Amino acid sequence: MNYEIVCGLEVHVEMNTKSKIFCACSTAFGGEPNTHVCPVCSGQPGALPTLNRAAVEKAARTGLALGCDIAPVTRFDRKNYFYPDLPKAYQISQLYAPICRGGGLALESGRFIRLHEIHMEEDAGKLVHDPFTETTLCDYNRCGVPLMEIVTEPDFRSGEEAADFLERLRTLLDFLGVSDCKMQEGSIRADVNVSVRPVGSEALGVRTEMKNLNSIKAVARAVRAEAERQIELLREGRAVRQETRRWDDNKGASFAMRSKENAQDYRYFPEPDLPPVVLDEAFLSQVRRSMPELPEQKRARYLAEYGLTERDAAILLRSARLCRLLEGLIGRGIPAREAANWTLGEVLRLLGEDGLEPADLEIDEEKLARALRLLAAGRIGRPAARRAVEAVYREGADPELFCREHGLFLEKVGEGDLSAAVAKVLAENADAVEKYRAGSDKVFGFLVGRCMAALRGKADPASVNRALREALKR
Amino acid sequence: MEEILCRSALEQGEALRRGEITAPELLRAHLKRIREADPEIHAFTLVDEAGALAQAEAAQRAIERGEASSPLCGVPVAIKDNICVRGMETACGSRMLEGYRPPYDAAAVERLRAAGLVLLGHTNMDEFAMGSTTETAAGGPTRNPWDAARAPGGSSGGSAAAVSARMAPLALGSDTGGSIRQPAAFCGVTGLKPTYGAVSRWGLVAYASSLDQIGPIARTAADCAAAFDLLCARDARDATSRGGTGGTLAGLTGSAAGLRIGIPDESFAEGLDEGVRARVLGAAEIFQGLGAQVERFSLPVAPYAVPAYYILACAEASSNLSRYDGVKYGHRAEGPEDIVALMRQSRMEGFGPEARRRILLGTFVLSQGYYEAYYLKALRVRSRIRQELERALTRFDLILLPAAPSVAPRLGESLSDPLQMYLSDVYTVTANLAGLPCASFPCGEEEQTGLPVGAQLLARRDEEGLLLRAVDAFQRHTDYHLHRGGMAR
Amino acid sequence: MKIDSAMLEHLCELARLDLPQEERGEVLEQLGKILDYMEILNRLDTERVEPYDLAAEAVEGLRADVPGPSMDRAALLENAPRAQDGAYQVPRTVE
Ligand SMILES: [Mg+2]
Ligand SMILES: [Zn+2]
Repeated sequence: MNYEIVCGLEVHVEMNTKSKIFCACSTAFGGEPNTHVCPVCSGQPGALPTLNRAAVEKAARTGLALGCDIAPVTRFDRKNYFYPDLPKAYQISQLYAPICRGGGLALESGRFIRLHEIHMEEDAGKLVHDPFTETTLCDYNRCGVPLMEIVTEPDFRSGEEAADFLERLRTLLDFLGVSDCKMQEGSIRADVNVSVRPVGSEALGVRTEMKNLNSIKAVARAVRAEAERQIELLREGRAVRQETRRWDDNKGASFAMRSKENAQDYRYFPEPDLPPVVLDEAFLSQVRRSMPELPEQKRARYLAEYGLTERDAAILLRSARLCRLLEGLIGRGIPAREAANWTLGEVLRLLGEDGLEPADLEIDEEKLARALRLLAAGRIGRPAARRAVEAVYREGADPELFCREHGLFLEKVGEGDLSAAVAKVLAENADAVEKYRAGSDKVFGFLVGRCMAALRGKADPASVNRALREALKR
Repeated sequence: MEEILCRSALEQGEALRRGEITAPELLRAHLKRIREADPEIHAFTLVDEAGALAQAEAAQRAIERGEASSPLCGVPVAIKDNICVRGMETACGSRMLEGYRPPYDAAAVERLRAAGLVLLGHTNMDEFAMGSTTETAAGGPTRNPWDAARAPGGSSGGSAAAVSARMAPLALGSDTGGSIRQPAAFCGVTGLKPTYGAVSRWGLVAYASSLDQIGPIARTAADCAAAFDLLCARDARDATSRGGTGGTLAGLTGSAAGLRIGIPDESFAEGLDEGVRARVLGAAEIFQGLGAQVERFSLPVAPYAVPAYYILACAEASSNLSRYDGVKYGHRAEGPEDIVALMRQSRMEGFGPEARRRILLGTFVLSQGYYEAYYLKALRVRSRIRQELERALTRFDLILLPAAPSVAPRLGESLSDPLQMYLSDVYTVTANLAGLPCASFPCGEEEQTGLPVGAQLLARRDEEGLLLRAVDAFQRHTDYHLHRGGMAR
Repeated sequence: MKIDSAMLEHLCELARLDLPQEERGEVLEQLGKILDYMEILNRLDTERVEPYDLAAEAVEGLRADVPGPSMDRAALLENAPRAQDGAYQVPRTVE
């Protein structure tokens, strides 16, 4: 019998608000343990939550971009369970009236993945095991960081589809500006539900839930491995148990969690400390007005307005940060093609050298633009421009100062020196001259290069070009 | 007993401003009274002499500069043990929170401090406000100043007893299902449960969040009005707080003429002690004498209030009390090396039987398969009770009820039968379910026992002004609120 | 409604309460009595009634996203039964 995979995702996305969802503590990543903590997020007796407006706006913006229905009135509920990373012993989440329902996202293949809902909730704290004392230390800095939980319908038929969805979702969230989208800091985390069923069957099999997936690749691997495990069980005539499993990406296998954690009853009930929130037309139109340009719109504009190639546009559109840089450079007068070349070339190369993601890029756009303007004005050559750009990226160097200090400015080469160099190059490269005269334009570049070398790179390429053409005409 | 101790809070404030007495002297008189009377009554769990003295001195300087920040500037106030005072043990009458010192002040405490009141300390209460007699307190019960063999009521029994025994002219209590009004009635003093949302709950240790409300206990309606005016304010830290109209004290005209007062038949039926009924109906006659129209009516939803209340209160409590797990503060069991065992044992040791019972009940009504039949049903019943009360309050300005079916019970009498104890909340829980303001005030003593009887008036949302005007008019024409019994004499 | 001892154990598990065996009989009986009494709610018709809820609020009324100061960690940990390296210490939970 052949089986097919039925898989759904629950994606937890940290929203990039400045303060936590229910208190004013900072959401900044890192920091000494329990230093971004107050009576509210450390669960002190008598403390009460107050809802962060920006979290609601960001969740609504995401919902609108994904074609969801936004609830006219949204409400919070308490999810009760004990764990030392949860100081109140309940998580404020949404069950009965989540902010968004429906909507969805199309995969590369064109298949449409439906969303079940998006709800808002608070993150839990961090537990660190101390091997010396054999104890666990609880740090509540992450407690109360706002999360969106994006829940899909069980529409995936492979781990690759789930991975593709996550990639697309991440890009979208990046462009929406609702999350930092840094997987390595855990700002996007996915749980997967997996079941299998005989091909052609409509019924759903028993599903397992897998947690602890912190990369998109891990999701694809985990779904495949879990489906194989279930199919094997069924082929042996055994049953799949409904349970929560933990994926170990190093071992490439999942393990059932203790059965106690499976028998949960969260006793959800409406959060009595927070009134329901009205999301009326005025609010929604304000969210629509503040909606940033989305990848599809950008793509069209990049091709039509900027004249970029499909390929360049596609690479740029993987990162909102790169697009922002591109648009920033264009806005500072750098021609679109040139701005794209530098963004996709030198900037990406430097990031790669440092092992950074485009999202991590920090560069002074104005200084970068000034370096590129020096090139465009013919005041420095391309190799010099590359050095200047690197200096801007690495040290925030002032491009003019940098070029002066390093002697990178091109000098006005005297007509005498110029024609002497040209004459010398033509004499030394008789074959090339012959080929040129026979109609090969390719060798012209080679000859220019020789001339530049003879002038030790100090001449501006335009003058060299002109002098060389004239000499060759003779 | 010094004469000044028997004056109302406003009168004490007035004496301070006139220079009859200084704030430190007034404080010392109260501290002396506490030293004499409290070993027997046990109204206080903690008295902060040093802190109070510093506040009294500051208040005195302000008064001398003519900068008294309120009519109650320099007046001592006692705070229920579930209202956070920064750095002062706030244990909610529970072993679970023994030694817990909040890192912040409750909003109500901030407002009292800003108004120049002097914080005496914390008063005893039923564990986490769960009880009607102050006998579930971890540190032992409070005794009723009128009769030391009796309970003071609860859960704000310490606050009511402190005011009744002249150890404090004013106290803060909290009222989830009658916890201000019922002990006030049993101790012969006046208590106000404000409209839900009038007073910020920031820093009030939660029992049942949708029902809890902080309010004053004092010897007069005027004192309650003065305190309410200080407490009532919108607070951005409590999303359910809305503030209120205020200006209550200024509106006490002494007149009850023309007020329409309704008396629900159901609240005077079976289960009400004859001696209590007589006094409360006597209060109705007094109101009539003051020019009010009193009329009986039927409120058929009344019998459903207690079960709906206990389902909702216990459900919320089971969640609110989950944070006491031995990890962050409070009691932690010695021994367990497994986190689940640590939590289970810490909670078992930290909570008393009544808190455990309510936690289990609340856990049950929220659990899978029972949520709809119990919790959701109770929420619907709550809606109906609110609707029907609001409808009645279009016909009437106020509704008059007993505060409790009987006078104060003997110590130990109610603990054996929890259901019986729950049923005694029958007249108080309706105000909490509907979120309406309600005051209880003395209306004489029961003939057989000589113990005080309390009547309640219930008003429309945000009409504390009208409510306290009626009680104040009553107190201007009667002297029940000045009666003292037993140790209060 | 009768709660049986298996149900009581489940509730104790959910509520993390280590109720001693000798107390369970009494608790079962009391909870049973209380729940029986609550049955009277079924006599009240609530078919067309919405469950009670707080008055809803507009988004504008919510807290603005402005970070404020956090708390002094020492003051917070003063109440901790056990702390280590600026954190709350509990028995090992990480598997
Ligand atoms: Mg969740
Ligand atoms: Zn915080």
